[in-house]
Amino acid sequence: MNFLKRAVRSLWARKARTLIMLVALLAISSMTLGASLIDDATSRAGQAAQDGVGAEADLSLDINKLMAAGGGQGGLSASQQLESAVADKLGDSPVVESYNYTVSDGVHLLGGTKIVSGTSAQPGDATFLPLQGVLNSARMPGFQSGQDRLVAGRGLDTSTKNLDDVLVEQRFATQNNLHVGDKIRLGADDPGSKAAADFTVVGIYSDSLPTSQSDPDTGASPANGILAAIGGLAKLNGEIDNGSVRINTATFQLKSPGDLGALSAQAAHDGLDTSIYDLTLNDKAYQQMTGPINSVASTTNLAKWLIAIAGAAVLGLLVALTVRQRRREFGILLAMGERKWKLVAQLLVETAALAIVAVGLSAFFAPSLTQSAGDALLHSQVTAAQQKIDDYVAPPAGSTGVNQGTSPDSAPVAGANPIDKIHVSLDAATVGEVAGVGLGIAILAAAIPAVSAIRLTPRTILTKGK
Amino acid sequence: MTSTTPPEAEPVLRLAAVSHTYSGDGRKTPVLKQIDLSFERGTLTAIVGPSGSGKTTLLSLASGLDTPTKGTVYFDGRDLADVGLGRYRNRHAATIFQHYNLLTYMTALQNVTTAMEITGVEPGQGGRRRRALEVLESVGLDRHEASRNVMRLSGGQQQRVAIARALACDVDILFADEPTGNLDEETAQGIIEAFQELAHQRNKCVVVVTHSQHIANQSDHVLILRNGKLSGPPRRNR
Repeated sequence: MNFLKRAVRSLWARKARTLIMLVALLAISSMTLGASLIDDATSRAGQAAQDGVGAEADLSLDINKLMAAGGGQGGLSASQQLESAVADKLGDSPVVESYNYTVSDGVHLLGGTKIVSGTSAQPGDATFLPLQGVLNSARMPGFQSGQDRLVAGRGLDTSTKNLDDVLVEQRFATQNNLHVGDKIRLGADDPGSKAAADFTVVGIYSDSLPTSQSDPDTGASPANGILAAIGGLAKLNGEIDNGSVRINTATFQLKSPGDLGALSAQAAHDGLDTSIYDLTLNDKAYQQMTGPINSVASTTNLAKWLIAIAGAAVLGLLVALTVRQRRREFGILLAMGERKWKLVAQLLVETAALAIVAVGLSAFFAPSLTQSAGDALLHSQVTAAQQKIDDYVAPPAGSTGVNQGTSPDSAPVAGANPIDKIHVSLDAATVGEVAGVGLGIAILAAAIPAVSAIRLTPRTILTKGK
Repeated sequence: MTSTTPPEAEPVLRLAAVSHTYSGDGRKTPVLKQIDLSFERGTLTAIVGPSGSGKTTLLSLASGLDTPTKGTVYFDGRDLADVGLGRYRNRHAATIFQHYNLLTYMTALQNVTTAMEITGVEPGQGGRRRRALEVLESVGLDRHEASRNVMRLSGGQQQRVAIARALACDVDILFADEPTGNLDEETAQGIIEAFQELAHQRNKCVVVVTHSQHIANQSDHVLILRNGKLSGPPRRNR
């Protein structure tokens, strides 16, 4: 292994050249490692956010698809209705952590129960109240965001699915002197129907929206909110068929956003009419939280590859220059009968040895420097994201905001604050990755000029330029 | 059946109808023309001739640094192409260059031991280092000089390192291109004696390209090259 000995002697004897190469490699590896560390830190922060909020898949009717399919005139046909049985099957999927589905419906208040004073009744039908049938009240958007809060009793879940149970809003409960365990008599939404049932108030919740801020779709005041067990409501309104009820939308809490594909495949397999229904990912909270770190990660990732490519070019030029200066040395060694691969190996060993030292040094210094750089980068991104959230103006009460130019989808998710801290930490995998990239660059940069030089005969090398 | 005359020994190196032409700038310059030549073990041969006569080119072809454009070079009866130029230079031939061609980042001693390692000289008793020091001493370099970087040595000392490097490699043929050009008379005579010792005592073939009549006179054979052609059969001094 005389080429190893020669490599060490060459590095030691040519101190200035060794130092220049080391500085170049140190700069490349420090920047690459720094970018990798930020990438890794943002990835971990993103994973933590994902673990915290997960991702939600929404199953709902796609009006555009329905129109394209020639439907939509006179409502959905029976075969096009979305059934709870399909959602239940999807809910059992291993990629789903929990799920919920809802139906928008209505009831008539019977037995003297009244809407909250000062709120508007339905024109021409003072006892009619729009409400939602739900499977799992805890997964309702209001409860998820903190807008709604259970103040007494318990929520609705799969165990109450087919029971005549309701959750009522605190103001409605106060108006009607309702307590947990009390019953209210509700009639079917069809005024011609005589169907009625006593529903048990299993819980009372508080909605933070003011009484005057009516729902833009139904016109109902949040003070008159009632959430009914979906099966019990369907029985009342005669919309149950073999235990399955008609639903409007279903939401599935996924273990990971990447699981959407598996769920979609299962939905198609389970008979969902994918020509009019869509499963879409609702990861708004996750995106809101991870927007700044994703932006930082994307910048640093781009920087990493730019540095790697530019570094390879600079290193390649340096090594090419070195090889040019060392042609005579190669000629001498070849004249002695040294094998060509050993000359290439010597160059590779010299460059790789410096690359290893550079990666080692950068592993020592990079984490602390990267933490400061990462914090600075993230700070500006978080400030911008927070500004955008703070600048959001909710549409006026009773409006979807469309007429004011505000998209209903642009509302920030409450409680999903942008991640403003990343923790840079060095691990073997990251160092290994950078060492691999560094060595790859060094080897490539050394091999190409070395191979081109030793293609010549020793006589050509030794007499060239003379 | 017995022969009345013993068969002639196979020359260690033979050039058969060797010609060489350099191409460049769209021109072809013939340097060597139809050279037929043999070198035997146990001899010191001097190649003399005016500048540009093709001496160094002949040396390059014979030492395996380059291949002839025409003709064949044989080592021990085998075509060099079959032996392999790299292997030939590694195991059988060593060259002392006119411009020393030392590894400039090494000491004199390291230059010699590196050559020994590359050419596979067995460490022997005391190791390569000891053997290298002995050879360096034989060309007039002491331990202090042996441990200095070659760039810190004078031209004459560098020439001696180049000679020691070739001597230390236990090869069959030693080629030298103006080996004593930068040496004083006394050292030059020591080098010639070392070549004679290699040829006559250790049965090596030594080929020296020189302008020095002094070396030519002390060689066993002298070849005169003019305009890429041998000017006649080798002149025998002994």
